[in-house]
Amino acid sequence: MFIFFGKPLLFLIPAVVVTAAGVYVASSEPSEYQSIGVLSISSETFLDTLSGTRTGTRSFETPAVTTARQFNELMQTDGFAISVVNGAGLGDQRLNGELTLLDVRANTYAAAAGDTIVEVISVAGNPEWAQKLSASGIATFKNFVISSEASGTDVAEIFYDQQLTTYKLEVDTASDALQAYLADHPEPILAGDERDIGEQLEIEKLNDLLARAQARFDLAFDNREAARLATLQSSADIDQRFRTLDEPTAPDVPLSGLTAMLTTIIMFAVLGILVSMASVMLVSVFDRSIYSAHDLDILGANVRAVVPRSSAMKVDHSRRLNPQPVTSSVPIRSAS
Amino acid sequence: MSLEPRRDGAGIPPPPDFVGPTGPPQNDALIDRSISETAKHGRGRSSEADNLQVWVDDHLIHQSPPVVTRSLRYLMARGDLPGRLSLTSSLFGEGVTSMSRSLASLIAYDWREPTCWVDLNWWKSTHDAFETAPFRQTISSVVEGRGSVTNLPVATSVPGLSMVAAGEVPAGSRPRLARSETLASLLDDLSKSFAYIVCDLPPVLASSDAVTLSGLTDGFLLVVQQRSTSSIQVRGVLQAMDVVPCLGTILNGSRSSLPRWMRTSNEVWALGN
Repeated sequence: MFIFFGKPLLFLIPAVVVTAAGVYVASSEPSEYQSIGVLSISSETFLDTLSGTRTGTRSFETPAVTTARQFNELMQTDGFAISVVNGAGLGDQRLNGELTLLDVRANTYAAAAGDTIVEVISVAGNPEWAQKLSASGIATFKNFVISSEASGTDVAEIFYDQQLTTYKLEVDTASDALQAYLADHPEPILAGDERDIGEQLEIEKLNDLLARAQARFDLAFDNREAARLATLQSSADIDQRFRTLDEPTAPDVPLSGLTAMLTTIIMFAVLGILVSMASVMLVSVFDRSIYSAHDLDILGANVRAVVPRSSAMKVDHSRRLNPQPVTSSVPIRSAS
Repeated sequence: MSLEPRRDGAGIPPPPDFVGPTGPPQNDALIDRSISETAKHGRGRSSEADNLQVWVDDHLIHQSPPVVTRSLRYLMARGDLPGRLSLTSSLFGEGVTSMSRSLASLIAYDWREPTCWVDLNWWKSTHDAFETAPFRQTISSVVEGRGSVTNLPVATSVPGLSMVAAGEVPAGSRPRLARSETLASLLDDLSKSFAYIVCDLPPVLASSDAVTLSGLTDGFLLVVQQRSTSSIQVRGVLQAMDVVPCLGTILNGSRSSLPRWMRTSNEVWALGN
């Protein structure tokens, strides 16, 4: 302690310097803008009730917590993060290196703000980027949920589209064949004449082919419509479940940096104090000089007196192994 | 014994006609001579008791500033000093001579006890002329047979205080002198005439003779200069001197910036707030 109190300013220099560095760092940090989009999450919708979909979904987590967790997990995937960046129109910036996925992941996240409210937050140095990333995050997340929940109906819709093409071709072929046969074999002109039995059987056969082709086409068409309806239903359901209450907007003012600045300064100050303490301890370890009566007490040397420094005593000259003359600081009094 | 300093006589410069002891007094007359000589010239004159000055003839041998006398009175307050004590240090330059002279002055002045300061430090061989001039007889001359022990003590301006100079001893002869019977009997003779013998010893780490010389006394005080002496050196001295009772240490040249609550009692006494 004597070492510190002997030259307190010297040992406080590291603390002051490091704290000053912290002030500089805190004041030189660039401004950041934050854009927040607010989603309302519903676990059940009226459409669910009507359609009977997604029944029996129960969880210990609130919908908001589940959604926020899911969003944040998805942000850790390259595919989702890149989709967010591309959806925000910042793909070129990512390719140029102005924006990295690491930055996007670190600064775009979701947080539950209640049981059913989720905030999708994006922080960026550019206010427009923040707004775009937040909006893209919401849209990409919705698309992800839609595509995951309606993936079965999508496949069915595509399948039936392909089938409809084939069936349409069969219907057209059967119709063309019937039309061609009828053109080649017109009905008898005279009343009372009938087609011979061969023509009647051929026409009936062509009609059956056409009817069967039409029936297959109609069934495929109905199925495809059902699939399309299911997709629309899921999409509408998800839109209803994830309703955007507040669209992200481009912030006009940067984030309040006071807290961050104070945090930075305090961290540096603590670091500086630690450095000062370490320097005191280091000097204490290496400097074994006797500084106080307490140092002698530690050695078991009973301190009987502490004599202050006095120039008249001439004790300030350096200690040495070799003897030197002992001089008096007082001049000789001349005899009168 | 009282801590109340005497206000009469001692500590002041002697008058011009003060010449100190000249004749060869007998042992029993040593103290009488020194006291009477001083009293004859110093009594009745006002002085600063806290600023003791030791004059021999016209030579100012030593002075104790008020801060030093105040601190040493703290040491003397316990009153447990043996009749024959020595002061030493780890190395040269820690203020042993000054401390021993001040302590001897205060014992003589405050306690009104006949006291003799004895210089046994031949290692500070080159004395200034004005400091050695008053001492016509020295220990070395007595040991060499060129003088008598009765002529050794030189009365000073401080009543009851006498001083004995070491003289010049060749380096090769110092260990032998330190262990000689002559020196031991010389100190015994002085002890018969003085209640207190305060010896100035060489540094322990500079000369092994310090241990031998301290064995001629009843205990030693270790003078430690603040900020210079290391704890390793102090520990080494204490280990080397474990054959002689250690009366304690004197922290010399102290200057503390510690808060009052962190200071020891004698630091508070000496250094104030």
